[in-house]
This record gives sequence, C-alpha cells and structure tokens, in this order.
Amino acid sequence: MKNKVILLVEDNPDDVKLTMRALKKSNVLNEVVVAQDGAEALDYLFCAGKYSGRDKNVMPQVVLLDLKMPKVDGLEVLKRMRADERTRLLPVVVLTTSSEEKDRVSSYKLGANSYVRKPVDFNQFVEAVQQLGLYWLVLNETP
Amino acid sequence: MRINTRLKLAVSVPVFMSLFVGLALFFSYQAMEKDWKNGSLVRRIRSSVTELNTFVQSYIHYHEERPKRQFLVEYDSMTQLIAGIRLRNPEQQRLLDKIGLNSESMKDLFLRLVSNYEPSDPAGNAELLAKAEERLEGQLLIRSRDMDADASRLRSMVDDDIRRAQTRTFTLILFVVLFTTIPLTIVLIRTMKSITTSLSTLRKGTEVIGSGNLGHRIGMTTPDELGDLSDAVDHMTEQLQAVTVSKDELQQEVEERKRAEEEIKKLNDDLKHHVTQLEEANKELEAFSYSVSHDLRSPLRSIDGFSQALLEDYGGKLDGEGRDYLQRVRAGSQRMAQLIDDLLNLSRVARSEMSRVPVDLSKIAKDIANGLRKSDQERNVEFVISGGLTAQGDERLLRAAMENLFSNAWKFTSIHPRGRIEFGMARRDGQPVYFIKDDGVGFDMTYVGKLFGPFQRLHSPGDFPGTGIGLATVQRIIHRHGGRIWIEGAVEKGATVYFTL
Repeated sequence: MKNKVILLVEDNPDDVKLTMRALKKSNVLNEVVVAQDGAEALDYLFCAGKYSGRDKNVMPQVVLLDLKMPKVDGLEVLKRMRADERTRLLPVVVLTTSSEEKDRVSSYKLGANSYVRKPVDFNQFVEAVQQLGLYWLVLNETP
Repeated sequence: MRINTRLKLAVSVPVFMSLFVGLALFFSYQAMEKDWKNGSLVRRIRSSVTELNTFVQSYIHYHEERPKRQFLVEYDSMTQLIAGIRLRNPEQQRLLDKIGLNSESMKDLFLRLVSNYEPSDPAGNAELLAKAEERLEGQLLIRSRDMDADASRLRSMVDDDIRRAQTRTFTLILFVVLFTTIPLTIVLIRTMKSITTSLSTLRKGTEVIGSGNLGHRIGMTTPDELGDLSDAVDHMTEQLQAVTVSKDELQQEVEERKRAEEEIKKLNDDLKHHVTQLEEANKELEAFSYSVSHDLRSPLRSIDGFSQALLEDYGGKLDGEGRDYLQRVRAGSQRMAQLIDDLLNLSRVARSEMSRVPVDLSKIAKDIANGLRKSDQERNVEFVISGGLTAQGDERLLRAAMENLFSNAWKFTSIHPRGRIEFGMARRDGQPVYFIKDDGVGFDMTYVGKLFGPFQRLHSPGDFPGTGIGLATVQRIIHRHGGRIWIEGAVEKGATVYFTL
C-alpha cells in the first residue's frame, strides 16, 4: 500500500489538514500529494508545470477531488481527466461539502466513481474516509 | 275603402248595369212588340175601313154582286180583327169598340141598301127608292167617315204609345248609365289618386330607410292594402333596426374584447417580465444556497474537526470543564450544520420541480415505519397503517413530508414506555383527509399557530432534538400540492396531523 499515492485536490488548508488527520486515523499510510487547486492537480497528473520533472509512470491510486475551487474547479478537472487517455480510468472520488443534487449528478455524468459529502461531524468524516480507504486502496483493483 | 273592394265594385257595377239594361230592353221590347202588333192590326183595320168604304161606293155606283160580296168578306175579316184585339188603354178600347159598332151599323145600312136595290120589291116606288137610297148612302158615308176618323185616331194613338215606350226605354237606359257611370268614375278617380299618393309616400319612405335612416317610419294609416304594406315595411324596418342595433352592440363587444385582449397581453407581458425577474431571483437564490451549503459548512467542519483534534491530542492537558466546553463547541457546530441542511431542504422543497403521479401513501408509511423501527429496536412503538391509501402527487416530496411527520411522532412518543402511531384516512365533506396520529407528549393548543413557522419549537432542544423546520417544510409540500394541513393535540394526549392533497 505504501507505494500507492493518493492525490488530494483541496484548496481549503483546514480541510487538507482534517482529511490528512482522518486518513491517518483510518490507518491509511499512503503518500498523499496535495494539489491546492484544479490547475495544480492537472499539472501533477499530466506532469506539467512544477511537476514536469516527476516520474510519469507513477499515477495516483485514487484522486480525492473537491468541487469548489479557485481557477479550475473540480468538475473541470474531472472533465479534463476523462478526456485524456492517461487518466481516463483513474478512480476519482468527489469529496465535497456540497450536497446539491446538481453537483452530484454532474459529477457522475462526467465519470466520477464515487461522491462523498464531507460531514461536519469529524467522527463521521473519519468513518467515511476509513471506508473510502478500505475500498479504493485495498479492495478495488485498478485495470 | 279597400282597393280590392273598390275594384270589385268597379267590375260588378258595369256587370249589374249591363244586366239591368238588358232586362229593361227585353221587357220594353216585349211591351213594344205588343204595341207594334196592335199598331199593324190597327193599320189593317183602317185599311179595311177604307176598303169597306170603297166597296160601298163601288156598289152604289154599279150595283154589282162582286162589291157586295167583297164588302161582306171584308166586314167578316174586320170583325174578327177587332175581336182579336185587346187594348190596355180604355180610350183606345172605346175607339176600337166604336169602330166595331159603326162597322156593324154600316153593314146594316149596307144590307138595307142592298135589299132596297134588290129586285125583290119590283113594285117599289122608284122615287121613294131613290130617296131612301140617298139617305142610306148619306148615313153610310157618315159611318164610313166616322170609322175612318176613329181608325186614324186610334192608329196615331197606338203610334204615340210606341214612341212613348221607346222614349221611356231610352230615358231609363240613359239614367241607369248616368247614375252608375258617374259615381263609378268618381270612385275610380279617387282610388287612382289615393293609390298614387300612397305609392309616392311609400316610395319616399323606403328611399329614406334605404339611405340608412332605420329610425324612419312611413306611418301611413290608410285603411287599405297600401296601408298594410306601409305597416309591413315599418315592421320590417323595426326588425332591421333591432338586428342592426344588436350588430352595433356586437361590434362594441368585439372592440371591448379586443381591448381586454390587449390588456391581457400587457398583463401577460408584465407577467413574463416578472417571471424573468423571478427566474433571476431564483437563480440568485440557488447560487446563494449553494454558497450556504458549501461555504458555511466548511468553517463548521473546521470548528468541529479541530475541537475533536484538541480533545484527542490535548485532552489530557484540559480539565473536565475544558473538555465539556469543547464538546459544547462541537455540539453547537453540528447543530448549526443541521440547521443549514434543514434550511436548504426547506428552500429546495419550495423550488424543486413537481410531477403529479399516483403515489401509494400506505407503502411509503410502511417503509418509513420499518426504517424507524430499525433505527431503535429498543423502542416499543405500535404502527397502525391503513392499506390502499393512494393520492396524486410528487412521490419524492410526499415521502419527505411523511418522513418528517413520522419522525416527529416517533420523537414525541419517545418519553413514553409504549407508543402508538397511526396513519389513516377519514372523509370530511367528501374530501379525503389523511392523518398521522400519535399518543406522545402532545402540545398545548394555545400555541398551535406557531407550529408551522420555521424555527418555531414548543419543546426545548434538551427534551427533544430538532431545528423547528420540519413542520414548515411539510406545510410547504402540502401547500404546493394545493392541500391543507392542520394539527390537533393536547398536552400528554398526543397529537394528530391532518392534511389534504
């Protein structure tokens, strides 16, 4: 599990911290790459910009994607990922604050694998992250 | 007088007149024929008288047998003639009778003359005889002249009669013709005049009406067919005017309608404008609620998450009170998150699309009851759900409403060891009324008006959790279905929520 990278796309540093804590509490010890907005996430995925030097063969095991972000938002990132051969099949879990039906539907339409709403109760959040880690990092087999 | 009567009169009067004249001519001809016959007889009597005279003279001169015989034959024929005649005029009859008497005495005288002359008395005194003969001849002559005069007089009298009869007939005819023709002519002229006048009045009237003045009336009151025609035309004009008036009214109505349509169009445009504005406002509201959903919750998550982190990582450094405070911070943020969720739900209920399909309310109730039972299996609550209750509505919204109502019932029966929650339907004024009834804590009816207001609660959060938005949401759902909702209850006697759809 160690070599499997998780890409966390999240602009809110509080949420980054809390998500990292939840992952830690869920015993998910994978390396977590944090992209602070959609543009950075795309740079990472396509080895561009400040990530132009990284190993192109290493792709994240799962992408935890926030929707509401400055510059390039989550849905746009998802669209670009699904349009590119390299990231077309990459599991994407939308992890967001929004409970709007619209967002949920758009996400699934654009090819999200899962949609999780971040609960306010931290304990519930930990529970959710735990289940996510179990499924996407342990049970799920990528093609 | 009616024209028909006048014309009948004009035809029948000449007919009667001709008949009358014909009859008059017939009778006068018959009368005159008798007169003519008498006249010719009288003429023959007169010529007989002349003949007799001639025969007497001839006999006197020649004393032959032939004139004597001729006299007697003529006398017989005259006597027969006289016997055959009957005259109306007594004067004439007297004359005729006198002629008869004279002829008779003439015959006697003649016979005496003959006997005198006959040689039956051969010893006669020639002188005496001649004297007697002379006397007889004289008497005969007197008789003869008398008769001639009488016959002539009679004849002229009869001729006068004929002339008078002719004059009478002629005068009669003249009078009849004059007395019928003159009034008839007057009647015809007057008829002609009145017809011409009436026709002229009618023509003028119809011209006025024809030029569009439907208020005009001919008003001719002559008691004949043209008067009737005038009445008929007036009646027709009246009807026409009525129809035209209704046409005018119709036109007015059409114009009014046009105006109303324009007004409606204007209102419609206004409405469209308002709809656009509303749509914009709705979009703004959506953006707003999206922000609320996202941006208000994020800080809450930070508050809750880091409070938990504090408790976990630094809990040992805090005393019991400090930890309690942090717990309260967490509880507060979670409650606020719940409030935000409920508020968003309420606004979503108001603006979400609605479809109307048959909804099985009984099945929804059973599903919800099962869910509630599973959530807390310790609770001893009896669910009584009537089967087969369906209604037209939006399934998602109705489910949300019933979930709210059932969870309320579930919540407010929790303080009792046993609970009973019933879902059913009753009819009021023929309308189906659905109800959810519990035997829970109930409420004071004094505050019933507050129950449906958002954030209005009758219990403290310590007794029963909740944000006070549930019933407001339910009410909004019921109202969106065009239904009514009300609630009845009493403290410790439970509550019943009724709604129609």
